Amino acid sequence: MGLFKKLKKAFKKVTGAVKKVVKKVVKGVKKVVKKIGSSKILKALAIAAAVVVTGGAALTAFGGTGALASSQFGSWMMSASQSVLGGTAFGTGATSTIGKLAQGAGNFLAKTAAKPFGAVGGALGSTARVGANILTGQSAFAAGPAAGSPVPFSGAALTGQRDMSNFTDAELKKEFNLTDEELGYFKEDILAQEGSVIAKDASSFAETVVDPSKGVASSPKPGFWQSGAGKFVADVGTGVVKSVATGAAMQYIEGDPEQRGSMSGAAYEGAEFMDPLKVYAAQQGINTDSIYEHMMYGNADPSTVYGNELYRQQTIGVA
Amino acid sequence: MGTPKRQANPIISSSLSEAAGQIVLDGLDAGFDIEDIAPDKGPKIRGEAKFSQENLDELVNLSNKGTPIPGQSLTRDTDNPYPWETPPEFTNPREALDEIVASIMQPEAMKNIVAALAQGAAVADLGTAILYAKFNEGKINPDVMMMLAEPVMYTIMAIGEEANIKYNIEGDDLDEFDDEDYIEEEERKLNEFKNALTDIKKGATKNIEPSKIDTNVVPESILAQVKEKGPEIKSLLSKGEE
Repeated sequence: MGLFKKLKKAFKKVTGAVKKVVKKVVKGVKKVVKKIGSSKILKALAIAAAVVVTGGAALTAFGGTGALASSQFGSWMMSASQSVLGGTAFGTGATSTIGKLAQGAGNFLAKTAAKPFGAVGGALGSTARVGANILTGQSAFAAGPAAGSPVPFSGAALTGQRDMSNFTDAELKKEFNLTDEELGYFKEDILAQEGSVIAKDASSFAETVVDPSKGVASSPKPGFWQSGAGKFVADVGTGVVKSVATGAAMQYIEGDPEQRGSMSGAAYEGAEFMDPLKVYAAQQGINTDSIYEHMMYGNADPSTVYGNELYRQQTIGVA
Repeated sequence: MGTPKRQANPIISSSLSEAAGQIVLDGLDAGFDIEDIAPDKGPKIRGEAKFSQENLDELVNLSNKGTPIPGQSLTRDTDNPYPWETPPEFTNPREALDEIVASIMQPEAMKNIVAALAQGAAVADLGTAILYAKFNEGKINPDVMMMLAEPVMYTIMAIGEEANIKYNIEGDDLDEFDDEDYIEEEERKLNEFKNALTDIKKGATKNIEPSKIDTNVVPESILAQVKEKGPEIKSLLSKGEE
């Protein structure tokens, strides 16, 4: 049998299977919602599916008079996706030191997880790397594959984009369990990297790690992250963020993990078992190594949200 | 018109049908009316396939043109491969889907799709043609082509719904869903009738208590028989002995 004949046969099977699934779902919906005709349910399914497939673009694609264009339902169903894209995992009202760090880094991470390559300013490379790492199941803070790629958010990767000025020496020592010697070493190390940091004095360690405020335009609007499922993801995310923050700090303290033998970034607290995508993938029975092979659908689907941008990221030179 | 009482729940599924189903259920649960989700736009255009001798002749002519000689593809110049023999333009299904959906959403393409659906073309056939064309152009590989069958079919279905067409999904199945509804309705009515009969039967036999029977209404001779055969008396609607 030739290739084309095989394809034709396979395609017939696939389309047949699709029809079966459509019928099954129509029946499923009918069981829950009584006294609605199958045709009506089919119409609702087609509309909902078109909105999902086009990421909401179908809402206006059919012109101003279309059912979708004027549909409140269409906008409503995509609101979950927009909440994820908003990336307001931790709100904006944190006052404690770690709260601020988590808020900033968390929003940054949420943004990374939701839309890794959009509107992240000068930290694009590192963010992209973290996003790609999360997606591929690696440690969030692993270096990129390109030769000489720095660890994301490391001194080499970040250049002048740090703003964690609210951290005092005392807070740093307390939060990251540093000795005076370690703190001194850290400051020496950072200040030695001329041109790569904003921090010029001992009280601004925070400025040397991440710039969450510049990286993310955060919004206080509640959304997905405040919902039940969102809260769960956010809680998991908080764990990652905390470990990320701690790991990032330790990175500076201990230097290059390859040279010093320390664990890097998220691996410090075993974040590879905690990040949202891992949890999601585990629930779906997906191996994150082959996540691209899985087409996912829904208003909160990570692969939809990551979308094509992953393939447009700069992988060499910025890591 | 229903108004949502809450935000949409995040939904993810590996099947578009299931994701759409869950979203619809979520919408209904949140307070939307089915009319809000799928508004009625009056009677639908029936996309019935009509027999055309001209089309049949064309198909016969095409199939009479012959097929390639076995091994013919191996004789082609390797420097000039067919587009599908070269690496595909899109290896990421998401990118390929965006490209295909964007091309489907072009006004001219939508016009043709609506016309085809209204003339009885099946959604599966149109989806196959679109994806196959993309494969032929070297845009996608066969694996991606298979993966995109469902979303492309749904996109075409949505276009059909927007155009208020009653379309075929696969082959000639225009009224399949309605027929199933009819069968289900019949079954439901039959079950209701059966249940009613059972209730009557139970009620009739349970309530016969000879002591309570009014002697002015029932003659004494019959009453004596009732007292004697009380438990054996069967309902008028009960099954007779064979």
